[in-house]
Amino acid sequence: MWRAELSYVAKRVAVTALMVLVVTFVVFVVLERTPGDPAQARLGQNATEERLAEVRAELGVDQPLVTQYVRFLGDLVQGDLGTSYLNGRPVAEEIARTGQVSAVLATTAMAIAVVVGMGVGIVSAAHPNGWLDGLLRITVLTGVSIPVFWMGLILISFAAVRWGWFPAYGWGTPQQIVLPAVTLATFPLAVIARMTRSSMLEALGSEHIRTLRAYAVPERVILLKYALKQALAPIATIIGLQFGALIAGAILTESVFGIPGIGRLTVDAILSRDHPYVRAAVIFTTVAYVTVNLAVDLLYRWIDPRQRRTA
Amino acid sequence: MTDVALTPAVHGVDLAPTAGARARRGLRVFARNKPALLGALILAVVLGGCLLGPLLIDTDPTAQALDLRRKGPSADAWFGRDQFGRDIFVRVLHGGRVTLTAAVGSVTVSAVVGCALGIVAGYYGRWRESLVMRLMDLMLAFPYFLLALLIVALAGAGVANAALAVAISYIPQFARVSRAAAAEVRHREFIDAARVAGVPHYRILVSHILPNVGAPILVLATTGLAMAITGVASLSFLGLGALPPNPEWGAMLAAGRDQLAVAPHIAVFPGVAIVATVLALNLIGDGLRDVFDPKTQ
Repeated sequence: MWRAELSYVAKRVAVTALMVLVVTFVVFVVLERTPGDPAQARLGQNATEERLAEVRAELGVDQPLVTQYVRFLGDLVQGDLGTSYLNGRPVAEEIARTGQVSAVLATTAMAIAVVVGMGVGIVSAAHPNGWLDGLLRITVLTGVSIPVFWMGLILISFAAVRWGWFPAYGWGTPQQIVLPAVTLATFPLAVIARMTRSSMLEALGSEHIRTLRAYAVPERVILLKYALKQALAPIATIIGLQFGALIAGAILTESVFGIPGIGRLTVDAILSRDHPYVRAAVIFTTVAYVTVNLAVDLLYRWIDPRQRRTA
Repeated sequence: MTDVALTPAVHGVDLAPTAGARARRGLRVFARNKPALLGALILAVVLGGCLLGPLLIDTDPTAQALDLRRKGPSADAWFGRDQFGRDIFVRVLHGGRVTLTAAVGSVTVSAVVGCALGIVAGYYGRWRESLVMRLMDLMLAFPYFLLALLIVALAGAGVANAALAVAISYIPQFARVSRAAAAEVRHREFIDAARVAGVPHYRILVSHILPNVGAPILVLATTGLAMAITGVASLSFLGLGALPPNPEWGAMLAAGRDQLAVAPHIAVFPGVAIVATVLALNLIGDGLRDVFDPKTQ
């Protein structure tokens, strides 16, 4: 049993590592094919031909593609992600700095989404088809339909501009995290609430819960202890699946609130064609994404032993 | 004897209700679903407005009226005017055409390509299946919005490229769903019967497999359309989709963000249009899921 489990984990890790390698290659090749001369971008329109060639050699972009890729991989392994075409700063430092900002934002948002989302779902399931349930369901459905950037603009226009509760832009103080975190939390919150409600309703309808009721176990204990435990596996799955939406949301949220995170860095780098930044940001985000997915997958097998039989 | 073996319906095996009966029953289930009907109504209003509005209202969506800048909603311009004095109501109608066309085009491309790949993979199995599904796994390794961003980075900004980027990043969803559906019917008896009767593969694919993957694909396309609207609008909002001065819902929001303190209505109305349309599609999608879900039948 243990050996089978261990070899499954090893296999999954190996496949993920291979996937990451292919991803780096694809991103590298795709970006090298993009029109635009990095030397021109750095020196501007008036640069002489000799100076351009000099900078091209310095950046290594005059070498064949495969040579460039192998060199890039070697540097990557050593934690060197190259330097920006535009300002010449080391990319790795910038990625680490912006990545931290995004991680704080995403974790805060996810914490809000899980706590409030599950709470809303449980309350809904406790009084199915009541007025509160109806209200919550409409709110949840609206929540999945609101684009992240519009949610952000609405919050800025009311909670920041009109009522002055929180600052509209910037990053650093605890007050500045509130609006972006709420914005980013909206979509996963709604999805988690919806899944919690349906999964709790299913659990509450089971014979096992009926027996507990027959034994006069208090309803609150049934709800929070027995039914929730039974309903947890699908909720955990849907939480794991929110990471992709969280990345999309973070890119937009950071743009709306002017937060110096990796999402805004990616968009700015794309708009200014700064390839080392785009490459590093895309690879970093994708590696984080596949790693979290792998972790969720393995965690899920651990929570729900039934999963192990279908290896 | 032979034609008995070839017409499984005679044995009562795999006997499906006729298409007409199925459609009528489906419509009944859908019509009982109040939220889904509300969704259909909202969508009809939005579509009707965007299709007919620009024909009926003869105002240029890019016409500026600098003396009326940032004027709030009034009888003259229902949704107010933007920072160039342009009529926001007219711009929302025209912008809807751009956003919706891009989204519909995008879902069509991903549905056609995704289903073709998925059906071939699910029907043939073996190396074709491995090849297609590994490719899809590779695409799914990227967070979808990042993939779309990367494609726009490669193709350049513009509403057509944004739509294409959204289309490509959504292909794996269609491929996965249609592969699963095709693999499920592959071993059914009527497929074997057709094979034995000598029907060529491509005809089996088109006339037997395709109709059987239709239901889950229709559901996915409805919610996919909601995703595509948000996706196209998001890319435009970031400055990678539709470019000014042409109206597009996401680009209009981006233009309104600097005016939030003085004229919030500039950003409010295009956003309401997006939310209403996406909400309507999600409601319809839920309704369709109930129609096709065997558990509710």
